Amino acid sequence: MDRWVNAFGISFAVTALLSAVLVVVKELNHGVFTWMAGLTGHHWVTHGVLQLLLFVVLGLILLGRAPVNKSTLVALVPGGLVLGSAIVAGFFVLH
Amino acid sequence: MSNQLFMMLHATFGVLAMLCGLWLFVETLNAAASNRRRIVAASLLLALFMWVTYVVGGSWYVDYYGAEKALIKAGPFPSAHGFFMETKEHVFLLLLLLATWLPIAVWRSPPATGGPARSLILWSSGLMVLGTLAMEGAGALVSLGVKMSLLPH
Repeated sequence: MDRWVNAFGISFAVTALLSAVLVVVKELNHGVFTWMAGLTGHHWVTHGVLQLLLFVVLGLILLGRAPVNKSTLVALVPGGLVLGSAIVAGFFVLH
Repeated sequence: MSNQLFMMLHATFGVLAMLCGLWLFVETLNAAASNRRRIVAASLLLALFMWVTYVVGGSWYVDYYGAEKALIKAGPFPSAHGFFMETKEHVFLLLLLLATWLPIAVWRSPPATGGPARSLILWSSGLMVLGTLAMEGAGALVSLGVKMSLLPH
């Protein structure tokens, strides 16, 4: 598997999980929510910018690292999306 | 008027993204050297339509949604916002990243080589289709929440 696919695939999985965690944190912590809203004028815009920055920066950092097992990446990328979505949906069901 | 126009464009580009995801999935099922250009084109169009959906929908969400949110929360179907919109707006961001990564994946690891590269694109594009369909469905339920709030009850 190509190193770009590896690096940004891992970056996607990590970013998806951290983004889902950030949803929970900002919804439960008014200070974080207000800080995010203050940065760009809307918490959701800040969320998107932070997520995109993390995806790009982490991907570039991982470019120089050793590739993961090919089968692992096949589990990581779809798994990151499914788990991240499940955390978000699960939180709003319970919240 | 621009409120409704933004909303229609958002939903339309979302459907186009979903169709490109389906196109990518089908081309990858039949991946060969002969359809590599179509696979790359499908992944690029998927990413492009997702970004347009994001910009148009995001503008609408930031500029107009506040009033509709207040209506929904005061109406008979408050989970149209509390669950469906909240989940939609955050899961969409994950789909946007996946759509951005897909052209890198199909360009650098062509699925025609088989094995993990093909599986990876199949899983990712398949989930993009399901995810964008879920976004469309959630959008429809948010609209229903507004409509229910405006109807006499």
